[in-house]
Amino acid sequence: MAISGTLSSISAGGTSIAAVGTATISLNTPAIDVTPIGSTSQSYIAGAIGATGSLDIFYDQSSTGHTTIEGYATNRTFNTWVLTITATGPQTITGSAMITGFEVTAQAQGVARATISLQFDGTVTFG
Amino acid sequence: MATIESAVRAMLLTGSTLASAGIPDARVAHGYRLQDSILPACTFELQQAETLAIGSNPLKRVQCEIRIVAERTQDAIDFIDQIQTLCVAATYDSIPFNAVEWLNYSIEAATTSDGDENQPAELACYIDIYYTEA
Repeated sequence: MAISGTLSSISAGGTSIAAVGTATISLNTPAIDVTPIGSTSQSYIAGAIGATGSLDIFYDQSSTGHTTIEGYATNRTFNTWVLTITATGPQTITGSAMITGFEVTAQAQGVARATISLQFDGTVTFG
Repeated sequence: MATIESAVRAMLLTGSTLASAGIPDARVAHGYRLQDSILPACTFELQQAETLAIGSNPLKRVQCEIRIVAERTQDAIDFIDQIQTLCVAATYDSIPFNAVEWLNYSIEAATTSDGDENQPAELACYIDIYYTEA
């Protein structure tokens, strides 16, 4: 089974984001070491789940989705982000996130790009 | 049906810039020209397009090589300004070129060999085209 990236999309606050090169959402569960003294094996318990995300976009301020992201970055607000893997199903990953990083890069003999970092708050849901 | 090849040709034919400089539309061709065709002439080739973005209408990038073939080296060099002027972002043959990046150019000088044939001069211009294809 495989799903083409041409079927995928991402939206922020209901606004679709255009020209997304890569969208990533990462769930992280820290492993808390509870190994007692005298033990010859390590023991762990699961910590609280956290999630972060990142987007690489081909930055263009004439795009509505990109200006929406700019607004979220400067307003420091949490908004609903939805990564749609494929519209049929649908297969989605949804969570409330704020933008913790917004980095724009313009390079010689290339196009302008921006990297957006996300910190999710609360539960990230699948499907 | 519009293709990236037809769009690039439309870009090169914009505003009769090449025609005014001595290359009529019929001498702008994708791929190759006949060896005995009239000079100067313009050909172009595209590398395989690369998809850069997710989504149903993704951003793509294609590398394009535009070659001007002329009898004398200076005649070929004289077309650099025209090619640079023509290679700009706009919509061509219904395909929007979001960005056109001029990379560089190279010149192969005209040469005369031992026989009675002359090798024409060639100006090769290299550009990257970022476009979206419906």
